[in-house]
Amino acid sequence: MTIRTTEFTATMPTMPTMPVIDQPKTQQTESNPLAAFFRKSKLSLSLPSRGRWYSKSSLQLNEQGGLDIYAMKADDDIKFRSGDFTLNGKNVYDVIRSCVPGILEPELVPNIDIDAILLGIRAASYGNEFDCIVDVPNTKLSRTVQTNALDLLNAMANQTNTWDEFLQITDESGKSLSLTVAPVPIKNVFETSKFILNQRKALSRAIDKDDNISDETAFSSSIDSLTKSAIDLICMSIRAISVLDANGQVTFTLDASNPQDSAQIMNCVRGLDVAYFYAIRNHIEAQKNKYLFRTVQQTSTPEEILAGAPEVWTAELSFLGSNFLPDNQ
Amino acid sequence: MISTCRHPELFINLPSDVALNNHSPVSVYASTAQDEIIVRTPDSLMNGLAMEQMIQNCCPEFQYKTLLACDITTILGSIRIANGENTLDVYIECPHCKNSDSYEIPLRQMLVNINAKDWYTDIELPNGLKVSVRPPTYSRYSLFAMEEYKLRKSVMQISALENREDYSDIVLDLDKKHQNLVLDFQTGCIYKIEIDRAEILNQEHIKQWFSNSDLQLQKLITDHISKAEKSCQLETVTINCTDCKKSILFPLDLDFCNLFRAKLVSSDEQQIVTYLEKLNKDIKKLETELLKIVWYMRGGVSLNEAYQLTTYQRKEIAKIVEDNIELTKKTGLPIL
Repeated sequence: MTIRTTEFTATMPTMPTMPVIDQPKTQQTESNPLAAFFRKSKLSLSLPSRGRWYSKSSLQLNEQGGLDIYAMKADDDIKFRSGDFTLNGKNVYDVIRSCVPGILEPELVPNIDIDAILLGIRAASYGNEFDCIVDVPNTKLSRTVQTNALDLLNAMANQTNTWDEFLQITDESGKSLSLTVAPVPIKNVFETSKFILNQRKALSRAIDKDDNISDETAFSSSIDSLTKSAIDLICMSIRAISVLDANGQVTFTLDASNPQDSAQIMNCVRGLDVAYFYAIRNHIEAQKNKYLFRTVQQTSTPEEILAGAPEVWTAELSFLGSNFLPDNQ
Repeated sequence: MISTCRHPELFINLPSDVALNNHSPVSVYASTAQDEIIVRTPDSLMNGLAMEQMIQNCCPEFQYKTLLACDITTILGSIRIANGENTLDVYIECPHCKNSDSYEIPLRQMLVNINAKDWYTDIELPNGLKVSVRPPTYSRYSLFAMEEYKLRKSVMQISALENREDYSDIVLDLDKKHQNLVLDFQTGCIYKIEIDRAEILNQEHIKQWFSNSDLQLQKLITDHISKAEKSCQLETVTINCTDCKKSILFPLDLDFCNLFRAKLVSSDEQQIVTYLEKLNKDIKKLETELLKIVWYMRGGVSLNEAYQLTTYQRKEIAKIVEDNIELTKKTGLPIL
């Protein structure tokens, strides 16, 4: 366990930039005789996160407490389909700004909400029913599954098993590590994905045609960076850490909202026993899994069973990408 | 010069006139040496001046500024026919077997299929609005094409870089600019919108409505505009490779300014230099040919007049000169 120090290792926080909001300009629309024919909200979405982890100023809910979802425009559709839609997230933010104007800072959307938001946009733009291609478990086969977006969104909205923020790990001496964990904003997910992609490229550059390491320094540096990025993503989920003694008394607390503590949390997690690290990671994964969209139960065909598939199964559905958009539309 | 040395080779009905049942044929003249030089001058090809000059010279009845983009293929095709080119000679490399060969495409038959009816057909939207579109003028299209060229060239230059991933933000920005450019161009094609019995002609209101419409409505309109654009262009031809016999799809475009820009977009620096040198060489060759005509005609044709000769006339003069040279050779008289 690391001990809290008074070192000032954190960098100064940067001022958040105000997002550009693509909302209809009322002054202009009032005089436009076509204003009544402007894009209208197609559905109201209940966020899987129920609006937790959003700042007050970053969310504008409608009267029903949901988020108004508008159909995509032609340029949103192009952005959705572009190859680097998920590379740095800029296109994702633009599409959210355009279709979900109630989200004022799309960069800060918790990652557990992103699939529901994109599914809502898809349903508003192309209708509720669509086909998804999913992998049949334990095989190399895939199959097309009919999906109803509204059913999936309603099921998510009615889910009672929500994110559990608290995790306590107690060691054999009775000391406990108490953590508060929250879903990371999608901005961090995109940044980490981009970083991992760049490190993988650097790795491939350090390996020659015969799979030998041509540049050992670059190779080990990339491996080191990849490992750190995986840990850093876990750290980003941690909002607070407290150490409790055997009597349950708090010895010290680190709060991620404090920039100094944020750096300390990172150092603390990096120095943790591997068992603690896995416990934190597994807890976060378990929470994230609660918000996964899944297909309805599928029954394997005799051919699929022969290839190794279980008799019944469900598959995970992800909507962060263009693969669920209809062709030639 | 046109009235004295050239005569209209053919009279055509423009697709936009036919669509509006306005059958008033316009005359088309063959192009001159001056036109051939201007369509090989890089700057005039880039800014569209080559097209303006050629149309003014070959179709003097047209006002270039009001010329519609939907009529341009018919006009350029007709000028080629007026020059005696009833077929298009294209040099194609087969994508399957890489065999390169030249193919003849019947131009006259292809021009017959061009029509501008879709430009004058209203679109009825599911929300009750009736949208009327009109073809853009060629000069407006030309400005759009130039801006599009700049953006496409920038993207191509970035894609050729080794570390192009570092420029993904710039590419996204260029992509956005391109979308806005296309959106502006397409919105400009919406002429009016009817709600019940009211007509909206204000372009600002139309643009605002279009950019605030959802994808399905926008697609209905843009698909209609794309269809109208396509029906005014030459169809993509299917050619069977002379070697492997597999079919090759080849899009045709007679707009030499477009072709020039497309060539520059897809070429690297060295290829561009080679291409521009070739154009310059062609101009010099043509000028030498004109000077020879002036010299052999012994003052019968001035240099200014030589520039106004059509391809056919130059060929005929060259034939006369050759015959005379042969004759003088036979008679043993000196050529002065």
